[in-house]
Amino acid sequence: MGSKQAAEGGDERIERFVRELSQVGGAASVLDPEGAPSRIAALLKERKAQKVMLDPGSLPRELPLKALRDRLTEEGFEVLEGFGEDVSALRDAAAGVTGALAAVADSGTLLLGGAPRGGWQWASLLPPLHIAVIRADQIRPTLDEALRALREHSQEGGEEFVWITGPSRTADIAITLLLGMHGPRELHAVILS
Amino acid sequence: MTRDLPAEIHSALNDEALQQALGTFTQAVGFLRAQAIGELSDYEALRERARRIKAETIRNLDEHLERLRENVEARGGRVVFARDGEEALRYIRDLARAHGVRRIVKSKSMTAEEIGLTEHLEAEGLRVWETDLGERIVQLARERPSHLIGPALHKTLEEVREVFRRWLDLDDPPQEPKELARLARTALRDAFFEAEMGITGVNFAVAETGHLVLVENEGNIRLTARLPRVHVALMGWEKVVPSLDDLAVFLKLLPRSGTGQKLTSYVSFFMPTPDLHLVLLDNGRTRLREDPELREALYCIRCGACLDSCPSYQAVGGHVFGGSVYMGGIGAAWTAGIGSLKEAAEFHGLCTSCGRCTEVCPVRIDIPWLNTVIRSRALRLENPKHRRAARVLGEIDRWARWGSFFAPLSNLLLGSRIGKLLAARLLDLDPRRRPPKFARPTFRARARMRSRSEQKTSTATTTEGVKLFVDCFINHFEPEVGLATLRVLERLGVRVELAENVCCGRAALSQGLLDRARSLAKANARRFLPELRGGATIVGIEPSCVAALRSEYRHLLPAEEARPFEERVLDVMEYLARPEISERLSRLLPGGPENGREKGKQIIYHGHCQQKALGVHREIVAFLQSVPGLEVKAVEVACCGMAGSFGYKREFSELSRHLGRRLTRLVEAQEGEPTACGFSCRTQLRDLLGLRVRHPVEILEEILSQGQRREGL
Ligand code: SF4
Repeated sequence: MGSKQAAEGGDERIERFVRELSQVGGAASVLDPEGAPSRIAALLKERKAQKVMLDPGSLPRELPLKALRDRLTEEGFEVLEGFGEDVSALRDAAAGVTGALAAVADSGTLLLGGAPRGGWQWASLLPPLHIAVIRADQIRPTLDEALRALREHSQEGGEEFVWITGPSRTADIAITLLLGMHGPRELHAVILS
Repeated sequence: MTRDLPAEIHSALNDEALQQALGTFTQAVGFLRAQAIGELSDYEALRERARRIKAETIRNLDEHLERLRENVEARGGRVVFARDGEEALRYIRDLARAHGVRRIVKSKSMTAEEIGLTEHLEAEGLRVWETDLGERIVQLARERPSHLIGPALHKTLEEVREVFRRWLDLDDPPQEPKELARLARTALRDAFFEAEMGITGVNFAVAETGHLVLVENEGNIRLTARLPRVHVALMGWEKVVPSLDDLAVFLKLLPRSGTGQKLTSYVSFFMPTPDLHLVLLDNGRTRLREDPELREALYCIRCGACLDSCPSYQAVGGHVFGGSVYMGGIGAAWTAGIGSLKEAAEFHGLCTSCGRCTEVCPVRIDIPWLNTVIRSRALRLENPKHRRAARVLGEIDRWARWGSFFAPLSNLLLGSRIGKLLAARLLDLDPRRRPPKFARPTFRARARMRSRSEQKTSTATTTEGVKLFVDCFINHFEPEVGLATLRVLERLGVRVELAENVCCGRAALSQGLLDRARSLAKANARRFLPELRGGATIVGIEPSCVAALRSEYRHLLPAEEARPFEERVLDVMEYLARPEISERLSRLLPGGPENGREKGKQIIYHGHCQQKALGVHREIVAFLQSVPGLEVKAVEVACCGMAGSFGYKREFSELSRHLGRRLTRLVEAQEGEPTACGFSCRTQLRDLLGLRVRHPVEILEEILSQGQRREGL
């Protein structure tokens, strides 16, 4: 992303992504990597979270992981990571923090993936709040490009994927739209620029 | 057990809560869908591709299934082919036993409904939790889903509260949907953690990679597939897609068509794991695949768009317009194709062939045609009255000749109490309906009589000519519409020649008399093919006949014989809307409102279903609105409810009136003279409004002749 033009295109893309995500009931913050840990901590505090799942494997390298861990422990959160197949310990986690493989500006979609029962799966599914940390340049314009990304990852060796577009929802009771049916009620993208 | 369809229709139409739920749901989804589809610049190309992919996949099925099997097994998953429901049930039950499973969580799957999976497992003493909220509600209420996407849309808030009261043993369940959902989340979350087995369906299985793709909003599918130790995925084999590129096409279409979302909250690409058991179900699908007339039902991706847009479904819902599993017109095809023709015969009649479904279907399945095929096959199962009615109504061209010949005697007889009684007794027709009146002389005769005198003075100045297709309805019942058409065309300088056609076959088709329709099509092909191939244009007045020639002949004739009809047959309104013709009309009508005339003629226009299906509705409306001196308001209602003989049949008379009233309510709310292009639409409007309703071409004739008088021509 060297030229000015490309950078501008990138900004537009971020805007588009944020707009689309908010239209499907999600939210986003755009900030520099150093600011991310305190933003994440603030999000958790606002929701009075206690247990937080962290999936370090999927988080972007730009995110200062150690700073994030320190910050979270300082603030008194119980940080869960490295949970394998035993998920019962995760039942009462209030939030999950993951990275993403890519995102789609066109639809406000996050593309996650990895081992079928990996941390990314649980952290993006079980708790009421899912925070996804992505680099701005991971945002691709269209679904077709995201699919290309998926294909690249797929070739690296049989992985599982999920496209996440907004929080979990249902309209099954009296045709009323409700968020947070079985998955997260809130989805927050932290975009590192 | 035979169903009492009229009684079912009656109670659905009088169930206020159901009516409201259906109205809210279908309208909301319809609106969102139109918006989401509108965003796709390449929608038509995508549909075309989707159709082609399905056709190709089903043609080379074995190859794709083999590839899928290899890729699933390469990752340690098991693939099981089940010939029928029985085999699938046995496999899943034995698997549960072998793994010591006692508790099962399950996500929504029509395929599981098809084989009665939940009931079977429960009968084996296993606990099964449906985890899709709507499906869970339906399960607890011991009912069936009433929609592919919204299984519990027919349940009111009060009913849902009652279900929760019993389920969670609550004295006073909360009033707020949000609170109810929260309770369900907590209860089902426990189930997810306790269950040893999770059962899901499959939306698409990608042969190239082995991914099982599932599309959902709640998140319960992800939990069902990933939390328990054992994952069973049950899929009809038609869900296989060759590659990820093919999948992309469907992922653009399914959520948009289903719920009007660009994408659902979750689209999961599950990778087979060693605990996966993929059950590939046949259960009659091979039979359907080998049935060339119904095969395309297998292309269905179960988005539900056809249901939401179907006038009959909107009015009565999926429990009435449906069989034991599948609903709507596509459901009739599935029911007949993989299961029982008899079961399909009990509800397929609710399809009025309006074609709205095909318009919205992302794989463009010709659902009305599938129902025509079912009708033809089901005829032998019908009671004698209905069989007789089919013969009488389907051969209208034959007996109408005698009717006209003996008019007015025939009209007296048919319109009399005895006549109506006989029609009710012998044919099960609705005695409250006024039969159409035979005209004598017929349109053909009158056109011939007038031609010598009138035609000479006409202003035919150009060389262009059309053949006017003389349909049975105009010819025998409404010659004045035909005459108006002749005069308008001639005033515009078009040479009109009456076509020496036989009946197009529409009436026969709508009664399921396929052989007869085929022979009529052949007769017309013999007469017109040379001319059509030479560039002649046929213009028709009755939209359902135009549609028969233009789109149904494709099913009745070899492709190379059907194509000229497809390309060279036009609706008269469509013909008039052509720029060169409509300009001429404008020139003849200098007295538009801007030229000092106080007010234009106000009309309310109801387009015909088939014009909408052919995609010519919009241009016709635009044309009418462009006519100087005419103020046109178009009412947008899917179907007038008459639909040929539908409204005459006692079985459907109540529904027909219900649909008709949706139209008349809109008509009455506007000022202007109601007009409609379809003979049935005019009949319905006449019956409900109590006045004669004209074809817009008659209005054009009127203002043309007024203009003529004014100019002193
Ligand atoms: S027939 Fe077409 S519109 Fe109806 S559910 Fe199937 S794919 Fe959707």
